[in-house]
Amino acid sequence: MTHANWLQGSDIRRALVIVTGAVWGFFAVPLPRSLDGAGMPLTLALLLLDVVLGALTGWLAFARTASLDERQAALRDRAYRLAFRLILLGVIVMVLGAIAGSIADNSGTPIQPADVFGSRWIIGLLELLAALPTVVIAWLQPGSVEEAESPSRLSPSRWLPLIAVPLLAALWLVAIAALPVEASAVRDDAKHGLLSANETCGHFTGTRDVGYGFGAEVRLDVETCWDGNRAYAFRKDIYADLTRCSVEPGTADFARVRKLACTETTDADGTMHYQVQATVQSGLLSTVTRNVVLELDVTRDGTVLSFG
Amino acid sequence: MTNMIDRIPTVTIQRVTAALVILIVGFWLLSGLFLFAFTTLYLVFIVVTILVVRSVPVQPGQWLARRAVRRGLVSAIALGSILLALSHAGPNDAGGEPFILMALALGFVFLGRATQRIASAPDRQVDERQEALRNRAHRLAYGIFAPLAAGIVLVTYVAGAASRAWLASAFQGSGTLLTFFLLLVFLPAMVLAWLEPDRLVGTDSPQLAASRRASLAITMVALALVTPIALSVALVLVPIRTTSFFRPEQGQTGAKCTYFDARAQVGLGFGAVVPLSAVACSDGRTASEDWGLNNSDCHPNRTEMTTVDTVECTRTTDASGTLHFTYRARVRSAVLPFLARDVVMTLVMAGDGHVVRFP
Repeated sequence: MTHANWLQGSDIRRALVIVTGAVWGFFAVPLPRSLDGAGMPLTLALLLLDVVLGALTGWLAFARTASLDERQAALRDRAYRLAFRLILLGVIVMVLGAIAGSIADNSGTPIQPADVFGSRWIIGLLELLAALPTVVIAWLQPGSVEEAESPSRLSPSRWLPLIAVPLLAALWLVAIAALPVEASAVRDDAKHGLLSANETCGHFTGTRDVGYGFGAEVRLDVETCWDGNRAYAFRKDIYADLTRCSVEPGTADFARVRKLACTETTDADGTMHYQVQATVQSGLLSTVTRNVVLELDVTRDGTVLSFG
Repeated sequence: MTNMIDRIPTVTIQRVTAALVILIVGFWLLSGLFLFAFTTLYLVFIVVTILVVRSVPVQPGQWLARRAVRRGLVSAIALGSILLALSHAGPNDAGGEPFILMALALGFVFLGRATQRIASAPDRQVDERQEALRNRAHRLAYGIFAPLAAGIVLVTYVAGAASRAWLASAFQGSGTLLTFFLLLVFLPAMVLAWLEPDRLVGTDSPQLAASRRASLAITMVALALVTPIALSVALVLVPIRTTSFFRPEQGQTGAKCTYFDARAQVGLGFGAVVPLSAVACSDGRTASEDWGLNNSDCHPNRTEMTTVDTVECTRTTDASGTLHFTYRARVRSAVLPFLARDVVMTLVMAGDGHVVRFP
């Protein structure tokens, strides 16, 4: 087998299909609970595999009918039929993966819908929708001698879409480093009596989302109480930690959250100053980072001076 | 053209998918068997109906052999799918979707008849022309479905936190998710019905012999469609069945307390159970609530294919010390939302602890 034949062989295409399926598995099943920044390298690997498979199949899935002979057109149309059924199968596997993941998980924290239907799930679904016809063609296409010897096999136009990989990486790094950060601030209605009758409490949840869903989320989650003398963060009741300082599963799959620090101080007037600081670090280049700060200042009578 | 899937016909994509669907539905049915008794039975009946219908060979007949009629049917299904995707689940997850689903189910039965179900038929049951046609239909359907689904998912996920939250809720069960799965299953058949030319009709067209199974399939489809409508009508016609009791309850020192329990069952099969469970006490002069007579207590116990709205939930004590509590709920059919019925639960306890009215 020559070098050219090796590249065109159906075995190598099927091997690439299996690797693609294995990488897709990281997105389809929410285990491990957090990819801790590996999501983007895996996405780029998936895109690279898709482009290589596309090039090796001559982009048959996207070819115009007029440019195909009868055999190629029949193979392409058949691949689309199988791909259509595989989408349904793939989505069902993803649903079962989510269920199995929640059963197999030993962390004690139940998997929430947001963990399952987050950025990982979206990439898994998009891969099914965008790449399946090409993947099926790569699996079905016989390795023909004519095609192996075809000069178009190595033509630059066939491999040009590879540029999508560095383009996506660059776009994503820009989104992490420079594009605006999404912010949200939600205050639950204040309620009485976590510890005593003369105190009032409210729950404050603020987020900073870097990377438009495909990065990391830094969260301020504080149960604040005030009693006229001072305001403070109430930490634990019998059911749960009401004030949390952690990276939630599924919120940092595509970028890492480092140096997460939550500090609470109370000044002489009894005003609470709560601050969350973190550095969001790209999973591709550790030098591409974004510092994020969230603040909550509440006076002793419950007046919110700053939030978000 | 040979491939692994052809060589091992016992393991096909359809069979693996069917096995996984049966696994999921089986778990779901088992877990909900006792909670949603009638809905579970109805869904089992639907599944059996689908299996029976699919086992009967079909011909389009005079009407569905016409391309214009088939295109009209496809347009109607497309419109229904859009309505389903845009519909919002109401309280108790039943906000008008069932009616659209029923109409779509009927449309899919006709669609199967119009296309002779060749879109999903096993390879051995289709000839070369049909194979080429259905493959082409799948390619065109993929060209519609994939960009549409991927575009919606990607744009809503990236656009912002609010749209992302909508997407997460849509994935957890809504008309949008249902539309996604329905299109995954039926869009190729819709494209096929759109593409196919007029067929032969009359004496030259092949005829299928009438069979008992065909009659059974028609009867089951009719029953599947009529049942929700009939049970929705029953919601307003069948008398409300109420069971109730009250008994003395241990109360605070010196107080005379009574435990009240009532259940009003509305409808047959598809309906709701409106409960009242509370303790009220009297100190000899004034009656008061101990528990169970608050706004948070005014909610239905069980609903099936209905929505229940609280119209009134009031508790007052008059000058004579008599306690009045009224819970009025409006039970509305999810299939035919213009059919509704009010259920009123009343508790009146005199200041001396005497039960004046219940329920």
